[in-house]
Amino acid sequence: MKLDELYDRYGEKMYHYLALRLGSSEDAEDVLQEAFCRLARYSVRWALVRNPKAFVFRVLRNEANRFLRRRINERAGERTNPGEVNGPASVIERQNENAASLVAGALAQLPDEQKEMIILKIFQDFSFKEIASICGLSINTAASRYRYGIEKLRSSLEGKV
Amino acid sequence: MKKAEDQDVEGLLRSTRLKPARPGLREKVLDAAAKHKEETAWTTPLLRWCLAGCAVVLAVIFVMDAGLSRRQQERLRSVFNGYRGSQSNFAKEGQALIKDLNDFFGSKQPPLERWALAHQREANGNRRSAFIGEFFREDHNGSEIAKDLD
Repeated sequence: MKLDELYDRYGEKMYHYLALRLGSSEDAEDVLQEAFCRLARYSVRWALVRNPKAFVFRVLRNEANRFLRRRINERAGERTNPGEVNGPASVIERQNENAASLVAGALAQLPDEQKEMIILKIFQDFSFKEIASICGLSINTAASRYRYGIEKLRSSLEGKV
Repeated sequence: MKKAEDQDVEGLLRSTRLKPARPGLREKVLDAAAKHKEETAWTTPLLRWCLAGCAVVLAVIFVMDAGLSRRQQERLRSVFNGYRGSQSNFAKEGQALIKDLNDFFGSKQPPLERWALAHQREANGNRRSAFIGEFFREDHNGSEIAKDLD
């Protein structure tokens, strides 16, 4: 599989995952570019990869984690707020303004590990087995994190929607 | 009840539409990846050309070496097996000289061979006569004769 074919298949989904997780479309673009550079460097034999989508998202997740670690270190070094992150609102369309802002706000309040499970399960349509292999977790852990996240979302959205 | 509410939340999330990536992102990402791949590749285009040239030179050397060794083998075979296809002029002249000498002396055997055979015959004759003389002497038996002759 060539890189342009890879982008046509998964590029948009990868961008959405990053934008929801990192909370900034600019950061998502940068990390997406870095992830594609990494995939180009790997020169993967795609015929040997059983689940290409899961593999690509694993690479993407590692790149996002690297980016987040870097951002945390930079903030610790500067000891100042380097800039505001918009949160998931940067990527959610505002057709229903109220619902969109509520969903974006509720997602932004979730812990990263639970938010990630919800993004992968709901927005990327992965099974728990695939999520477990992408994140290096057991299936039960992935499912329970997802359930905790949904409960938190429900409690924060209760009575608002 | 709680499960139904959870499904409502899931439904709300699934109905949330995400903005598409900005136009031009595909080209930006793919260009950067292609450039990065080129930079990190262990061969440059010049090195690739050099490697291909070296491979061609090696192939030519192998082919030429095989041809030369075959010709060399033919020459050696002609020298050791009496194959006269590639004899030198000097060898041909020598053979012609021997043939002329044979014709002159009227014999089918070369003069050198004739001399060698005559010499061998003479030596054998002398040895035989010495043996017979010793054998008929009364004071010797067979073993002493053999010892003396050795």
